[in-house]
Amino acid sequence: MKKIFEDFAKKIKTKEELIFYLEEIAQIRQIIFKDKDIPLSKKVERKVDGEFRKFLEISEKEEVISKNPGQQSSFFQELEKYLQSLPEIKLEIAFSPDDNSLDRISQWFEKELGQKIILDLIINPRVVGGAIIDYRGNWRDFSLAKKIDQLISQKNQ
Amino acid sequence: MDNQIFFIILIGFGVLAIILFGLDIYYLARKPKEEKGVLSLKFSEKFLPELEKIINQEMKRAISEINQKVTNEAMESYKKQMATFSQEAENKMAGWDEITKKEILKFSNTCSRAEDLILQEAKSKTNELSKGLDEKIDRICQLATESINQKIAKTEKNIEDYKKEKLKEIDQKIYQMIGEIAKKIIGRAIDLSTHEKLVIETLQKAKKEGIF
Repeated sequence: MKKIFEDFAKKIKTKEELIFYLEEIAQIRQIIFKDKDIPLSKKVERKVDGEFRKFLEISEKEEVISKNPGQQSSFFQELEKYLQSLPEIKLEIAFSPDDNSLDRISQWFEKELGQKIILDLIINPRVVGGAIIDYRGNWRDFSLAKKIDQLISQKNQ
Repeated sequence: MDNQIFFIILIGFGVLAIILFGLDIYYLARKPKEEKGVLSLKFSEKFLPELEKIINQEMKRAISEINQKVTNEAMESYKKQMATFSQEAENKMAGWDEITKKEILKFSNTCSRAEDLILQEAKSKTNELSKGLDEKIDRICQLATESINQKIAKTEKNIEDYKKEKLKEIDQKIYQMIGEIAKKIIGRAIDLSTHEKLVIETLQKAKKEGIF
């Protein structure tokens, strides 16, 4: 099941996306026990994101998700737990990255650290370039703004 | 006093006249009885009143004359005395005048001498004070000049320090402004791919520093 969760988590790069999917999961959990005869993927039609619904459909076909509502509930509970356990990194950056940039940044973490990390992005033009990082209580300023300030400070002395 | 003397004299004459008249009457009244045998004059009824009248007239006249005489003599005496007094007073006045003039002169001389002495003393004291004052003023001026010079030096130093501080502040502000402008310009100049590269470099640095 972990592999399924990991595959699912590949879609999620940012915290906003994580919150979104957690809300989707919460919604699904509310309708699991209704209309027990109807497949879950059908029940969630027009109620959840298209991508998520496709995921559910494939999972049902591959019998990753049981038809039993009780087991379905457990599945989503576990998925929720898994997603919430994913480590987060706060990145304060000067630009608004597109999907490709987000992919590349996210993939860097998977490649360099061997783990999935959720990006909590703060867009702040005053950073100028680079990033300010806050990860598990470690805060560091690697921004261009800081470098410029240091340069100016050296000139001033 | 003169009036009293005159009054006394007048009364005396009056009494004397009355006594004499009385004696006359007595003797005239007695004489015919004693000398009846020798000579006897018969007085008329009119004789005594006329005699009385005459005596009165004479008395009045005598009194008037005595009065006049006494008055004149008193006046004369008074005049003489007044003249004497006047003369003596004049002499005294002249004497006092003289004395007063002498005293005034003496006083004037004394005042003049006193004035000279006071002036001399005043000049002497003034010179002393002046000398002492000059020295004190010089000293005070010296101290004041030193004090002012010190204060000027301190103020100049304060001004210099203030200028330096303000220039430093201005420099800092200028550099701050340069920094802000540089950030804005650089921020606008960097494209998306450069931003991405910078972020990746940042992550690599963070990894080297052991954040991950």
